[in-house]
Amino acid sequence: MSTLSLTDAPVAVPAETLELHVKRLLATWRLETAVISSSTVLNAHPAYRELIAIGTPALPYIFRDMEKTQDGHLSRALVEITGARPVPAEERGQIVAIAKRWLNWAQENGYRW
Amino acid sequence: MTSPPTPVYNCIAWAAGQTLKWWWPTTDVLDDAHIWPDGVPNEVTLPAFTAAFATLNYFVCENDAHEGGWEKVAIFVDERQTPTHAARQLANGRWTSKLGKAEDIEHDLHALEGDVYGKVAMLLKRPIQA
Repeated sequence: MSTLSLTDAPVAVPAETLELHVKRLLATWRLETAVISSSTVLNAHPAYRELIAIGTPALPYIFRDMEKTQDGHLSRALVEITGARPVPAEERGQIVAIAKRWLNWAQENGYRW
Repeated sequence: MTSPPTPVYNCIAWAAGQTLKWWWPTTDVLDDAHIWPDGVPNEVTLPAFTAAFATLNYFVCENDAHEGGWEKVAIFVDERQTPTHAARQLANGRWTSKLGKAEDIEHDLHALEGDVYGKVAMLLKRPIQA
């Protein structure tokens, strides 16, 4: 018969809140792609992909970040999570305009952040 | 450092003299956060980047020496010859670069060569615009 020692007991680690998790992913993504110009590299970064994998629950925190940073590079993740395409063709590449389009879309669709 | 960080424009846009859009070629139809000149191949290759600057009247030149009346651009590539970065020559002969979403800086051309941007692979020039 085996015995369980105190050292074998699982250590209770406080769970990171979803908000903190999203903030950490965004910070990692920005830090590790800070000097990169490639849209392909920005969108393929593991932290960016993890944001997308979280899906809808991440949206309020992404919109909160977008409102503060005006970072339209989050658009690719939002398209993948929501399926929406609020950015008109004539505004492609205009990062601040893209952020504004998404924030308007979020408000119109009942998101609060 | 000559400007603060911003996600609005990148090195390619800055080298092209644009500060309102993010320039990069991609075939990702879900990505709205980039533009690329019409008619230029949507691919991350040296010929495509050369063609993009050709839309702004740049053509291939031999060296990075400062020449009065001419504006030069340098394109950097990694070890696979994939473009990573572009810099533009200033009137004082030094070079200016926007570093991704980070700052734009003034530098010696080859000071940016290394692990991140690789090396200078193509030099282009055009007459200075009036």
